Amino acid sequence: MLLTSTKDLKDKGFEEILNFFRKKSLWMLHYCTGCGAVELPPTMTSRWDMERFGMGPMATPRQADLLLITGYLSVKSLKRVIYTYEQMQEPKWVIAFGSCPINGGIYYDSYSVINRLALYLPVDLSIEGCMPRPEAIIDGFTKLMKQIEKGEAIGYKKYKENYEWYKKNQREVLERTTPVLEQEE
Amino acid sequence: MVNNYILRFLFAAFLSIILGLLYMGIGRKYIARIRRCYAGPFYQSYIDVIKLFSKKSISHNWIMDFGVMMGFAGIIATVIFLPIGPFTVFPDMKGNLIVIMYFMTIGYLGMAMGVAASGNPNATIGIARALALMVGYEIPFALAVILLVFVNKSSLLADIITTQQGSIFHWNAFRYPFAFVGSLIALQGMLGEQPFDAMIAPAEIASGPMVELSGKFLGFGFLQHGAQIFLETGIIAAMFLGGGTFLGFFTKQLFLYLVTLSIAAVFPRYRFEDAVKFFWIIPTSLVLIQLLIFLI
Amino acid sequence: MIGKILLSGVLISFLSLFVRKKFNYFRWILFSIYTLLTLFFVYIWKNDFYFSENYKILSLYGLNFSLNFKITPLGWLFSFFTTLLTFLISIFSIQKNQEEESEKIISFFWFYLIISNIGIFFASDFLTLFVFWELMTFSSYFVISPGWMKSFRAVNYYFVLSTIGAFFMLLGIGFLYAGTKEFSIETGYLYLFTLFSKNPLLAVLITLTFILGFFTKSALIPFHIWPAQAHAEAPDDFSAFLSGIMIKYGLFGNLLFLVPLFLLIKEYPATQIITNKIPLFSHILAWVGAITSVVATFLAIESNDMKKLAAYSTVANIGYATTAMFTLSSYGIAGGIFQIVTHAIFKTAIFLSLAAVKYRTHEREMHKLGGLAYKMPVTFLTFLLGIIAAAGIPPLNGYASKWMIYQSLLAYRFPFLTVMIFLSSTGAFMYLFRALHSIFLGQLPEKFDDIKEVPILMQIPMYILMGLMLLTGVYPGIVLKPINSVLQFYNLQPLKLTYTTMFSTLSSVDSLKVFLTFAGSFAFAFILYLLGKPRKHVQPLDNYTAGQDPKEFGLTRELYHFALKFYEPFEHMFDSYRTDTKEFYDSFERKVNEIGKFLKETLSGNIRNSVYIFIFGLVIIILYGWLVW
Repeated sequence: MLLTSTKDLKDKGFEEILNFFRKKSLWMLHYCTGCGAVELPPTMTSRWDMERFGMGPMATPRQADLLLITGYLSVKSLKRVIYTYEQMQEPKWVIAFGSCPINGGIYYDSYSVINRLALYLPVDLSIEGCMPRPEAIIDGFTKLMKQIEKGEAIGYKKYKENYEWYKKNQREVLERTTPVLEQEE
Repeated sequence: MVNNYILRFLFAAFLSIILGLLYMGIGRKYIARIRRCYAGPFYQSYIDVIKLFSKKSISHNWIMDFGVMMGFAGIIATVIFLPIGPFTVFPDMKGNLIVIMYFMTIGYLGMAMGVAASGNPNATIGIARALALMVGYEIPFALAVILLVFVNKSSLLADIITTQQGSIFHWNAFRYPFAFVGSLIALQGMLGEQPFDAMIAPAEIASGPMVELSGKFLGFGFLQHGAQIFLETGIIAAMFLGGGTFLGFFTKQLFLYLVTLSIAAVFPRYRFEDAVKFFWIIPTSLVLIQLLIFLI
Repeated sequence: MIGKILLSGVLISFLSLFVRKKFNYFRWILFSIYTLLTLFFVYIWKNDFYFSENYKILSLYGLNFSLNFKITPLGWLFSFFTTLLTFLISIFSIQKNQEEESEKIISFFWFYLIISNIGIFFASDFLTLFVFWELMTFSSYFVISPGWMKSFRAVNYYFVLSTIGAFFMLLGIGFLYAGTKEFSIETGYLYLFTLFSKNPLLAVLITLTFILGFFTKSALIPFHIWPAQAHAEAPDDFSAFLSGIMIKYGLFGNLLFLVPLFLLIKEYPATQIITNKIPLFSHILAWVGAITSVVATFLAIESNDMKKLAAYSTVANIGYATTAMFTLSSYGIAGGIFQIVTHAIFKTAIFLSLAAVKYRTHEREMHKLGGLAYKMPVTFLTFLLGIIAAAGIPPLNGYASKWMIYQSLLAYRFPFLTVMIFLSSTGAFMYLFRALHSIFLGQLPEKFDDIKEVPILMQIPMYILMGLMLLTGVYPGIVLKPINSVLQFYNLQPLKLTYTTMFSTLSSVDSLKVFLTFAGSFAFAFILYLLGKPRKHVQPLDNYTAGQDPKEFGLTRELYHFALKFYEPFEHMFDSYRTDTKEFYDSFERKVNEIGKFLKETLSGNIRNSVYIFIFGLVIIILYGWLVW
């Protein structure tokens, strides 16, 4: 299981000042995995206007701070998500949308969809609902901002500390897809 | 004496960065209001830059580090030669236009080199588009420069400003309206705003040159863009709107930038070869008409 | 002294033939030493202006054929810089030709190149000029094509063009001799000047013959194709000589003969049409230069072969220099000469770095290369400084000369020429960046993983060239002071300048301040860079691939390098123009074929017809001769 407690990893000192700027300028990666992605455009545009919080979509993982898992995650996309997450630069955070990344949701018995995202990536915040409405999404974002300001949003540090554990879990599920890929070739 | 130069240098450099980022922030607010939303505070760009510098980053090789720094240094070095209101760093070279036009390109070259070294084809495609676009907008801009040099018999921006003093109708914008409009369109291309933003195109080539920039590298990109806004609006403000005092000059710069954004907010994107054709036909002929009127 | 140096060159060249093939490099060391010696003597002649030497070769039917040399400021400037650059190239060649299977004959003919170089620049009459001009053409012919089939075709094209040009020049010299009974260059253009009022048609014809002679050599439109073939196919080190030095002979001819002639016409303008305060003839030539630079720029943007690209870039730069010198102001002539010198320096640097790339990779197509900067940093830096200079960006030398050219064009009101120069110099940015990216940046293909930097002997000239580019850029006075004495030689007003500052009527610029400003800005950027969180280096393929793992879909570094068809949409803009031109040439070809067929039928059908036509033509020529004299 997870090795270290949250307290040891908390940001201290100078980082806390920087955290103020980090929370005010969250750039998210425009990576749409599931059906929750349709809730993002209204959140971004003038109806709910997410830019008020200094948030905005970014094109590549290199530029982004925030990875959104918008809904169910199939095993095939999980591989891409992990690759993308590892390309993002620290500090970085993950938000899971809806019930699918928590327990599988309506896809709980599907052979190709993972049930619990937290086993494979360090999720900082989950937003409930199927799918969450823009109000809920913005509420989630403000919660994350508070966490960041306090220095408690430290998923990326956990991922580094428990890298072996996460890798083991990832390997277990990803190995299921390898034979299929080989047959394709 | 030397200290004096260093202080003046630092003043100009910081002024360009700070004001450039401020214009950027106000511009974002302005665009948001056009779209009936609110966007962040006007100091959002400062927050973004500090955040970017506080992030960890990757680079692919030393050329990427070197190129990004060179790109920023090129734009800052050009700002040094721009007369900022009544202030110039070198009193004996008050904004030599030929130097400014060629010095600007070292910034582009540096940035282009840095992002090309990242080895991502999207970045290079973006750069290729940007360079092709440059061939487009430099022609009307060069014609406008030639016109003003002929009028003033001097290629110093300071002299061009001096002849425009007195009344608002002495401004070159009113004396040479066609050239002014042509240069405004060229400014749109220089700043890379819509409809001439084919080099960035986030949904098509993943934000082009910036694709592999992370953390402080992207921060340098922001700073460079801010300084570039300051520089390019400053050149046009000095050439056509008569420079002015510090406050007047900054207001004119902001005005020019907001005009650019007003066009950008409502336009889609040109394919870049169509944009080049557009630059070679519409703005070029506008400035050309003005030049011919002057020569005849 | 000049004669002795040239003669010793001939002797050493024969000596070098006896060196065994095993000690191939020794021949090149001999050549380097000879070049260094020549450089030394040229340098000490810097105070002996107007010192002349005559060597009587033979006397026939009362005609004296002699080789006459005179040290003029113009010739000295050209010969000093060309000899210096030849020396640098020769150091490069020692290493380059050591491993390659090079023919004995190449180094032998290189001696004649440097001999004719000195001969052309110090020639004081047309006959000497022509003798060395032809020696240059013949020796370069053998160096370009040491028996390779592909270069053989290219060199034939070059050779035919050069020879046609040279014969036109000979025709012009003949006309002048008929008028003046001597071969002296000064009496030549004085006589031609008087002829412009007496017999304008003949004068224009004679001037045209000289223009053809000089313009074929310096590859101005419509002869702008040969460098792309000859420079591309020549041995790599010789390409540097061709592009850096040899193409300048045509411009030297212009400066020697046409510019003084037009200056005379400009001063006493009763004889010819004057536009924009310069003679119409000169104005047209300036336009030819500008059009050449634009056309060559667009051709360079389209070429995928790195040596072809650099060759077209040379043609474009020659265009600037031509435009500048035919505006006939002191800024223009100084800017033109300065452009010639700076271009010689930075183009030698560019071609040497390309030669270094080819030495290691044996590739010329740019899309097959990539990422070499990470393996060959010195070569990369040489190329980078070269292209910064070529794009005219301060603080390197290309900027100083371009600044001078713009001053002449703007101060004397040539708006459209200025725009064309501007267009081609912005376009230069396009193709130069393409070369930089495709060869040195982007992804390094797997096959070049164990490539190393070139040996130290090849690096030395590159270091020196980098230093020269920076030095002449930051201290343009080093070149401009000798140019001032050239201006005095033309009786023009010398430029006002110090070692770092250039003044013109429009503005002034202090290159040292420009350089220090850039250095300061870079330091500023570097401090900001250190303030940010540290960065880490990652593998080249750890890159944005839209989430795909590169290994899984077989992405190699070679595939992820964007270099082929770099500006394809931009090139498509000119498609309609291209098809129009093709149709024009096709119809031209058809017409030539028809005329040829008609002539063939009428002539070969009956031998008597051809005899009649021959006699008729002869009669016309004789009658024309009587009428003219």
